[in-house]
Amino acid sequence: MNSKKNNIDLDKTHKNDLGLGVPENYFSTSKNELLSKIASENRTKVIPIYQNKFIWFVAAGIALLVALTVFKQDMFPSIDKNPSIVSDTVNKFQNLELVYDLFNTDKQDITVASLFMNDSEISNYVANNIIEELLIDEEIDSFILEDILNEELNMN
Amino acid sequence: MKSETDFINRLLNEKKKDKAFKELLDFYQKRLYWHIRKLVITHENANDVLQNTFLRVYKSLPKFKQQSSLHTWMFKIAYNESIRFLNNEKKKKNESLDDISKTYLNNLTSDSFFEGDEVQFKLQQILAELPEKHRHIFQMKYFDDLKFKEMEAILEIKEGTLKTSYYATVKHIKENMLNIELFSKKKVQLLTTNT
Repeated sequence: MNSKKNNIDLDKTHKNDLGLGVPENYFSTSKNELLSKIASENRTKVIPIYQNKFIWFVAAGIALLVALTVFKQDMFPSIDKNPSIVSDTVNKFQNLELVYDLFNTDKQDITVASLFMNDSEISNYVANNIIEELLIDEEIDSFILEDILNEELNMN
Repeated sequence: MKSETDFINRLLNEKKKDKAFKELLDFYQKRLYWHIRKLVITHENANDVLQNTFLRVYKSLPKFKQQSSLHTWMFKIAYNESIRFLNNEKKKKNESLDDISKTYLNNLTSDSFFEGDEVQFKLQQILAELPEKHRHIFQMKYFDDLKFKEMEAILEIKEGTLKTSYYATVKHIKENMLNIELFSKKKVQLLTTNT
């Protein structure tokens, strides 16, 4: 740990050979500044719980469980104990006819109702109802166009 | 300081570490400051890097495995902090390799604590023109008084390569400084004959 050059030699060499200087009292000011920085580091030091990964994962797991059970009691529904709003909907949509009724009465609910149906049932419904409706609309449009054309021809 | 192991034990002891750290500061503050100053050039930058170095030393002490001496470990941290600082500066300024020596001299002349005369400036100029690694090797050996073995651990360059680089650099500097001194003497003679 001993170095041949002492502190005074270091200052002299750097000044004489390289022309480098330092502000007056720099080293004592810098030392105090450093010590106060370290003291403040120590004051704000927190217990590094994150360093122990196991504790961290256990804590995170417990927190997640508490949060889900306290704030979202309907997060893990069971077949026997569905929250009322879910069981109502499930029971309702178990009857396919009711679903079709809902489609016919309120088209806005198609997306919601489709969540409770098989893909084949949805495609059947689309083929039988929606595509048919589109074709009818198109047919009506073509009749209207024909009417307009006839009117124009009559005028001429 | 007493034996190094005792001293390190004091640094790691919760009750004794503050006093031990003050001793560490007393012993290394100037040594590391001058080591850093030659790498980053200006006093302001050297001060910032020195503060970061000691903070890092303080935080890393519990992880110090004593695979090298405390002396080497301290210099390695200071060197790494300086290189990190220089790399950040290069990135910020988007510098090419050619710009580095220009920046070295620009930093030197802009530093209010550079008090060098013509000869000192010329030496700095020669150092600035050296490849960065060769300059660092020369500075660490000549000014910081580090042993080649210590430099090997700090720079991660083999001892043989360090020696070759150092002696080649010394030769190069001697030749160039001789020219400067001759030039200076001639210049002085010219000046005296004119007056």
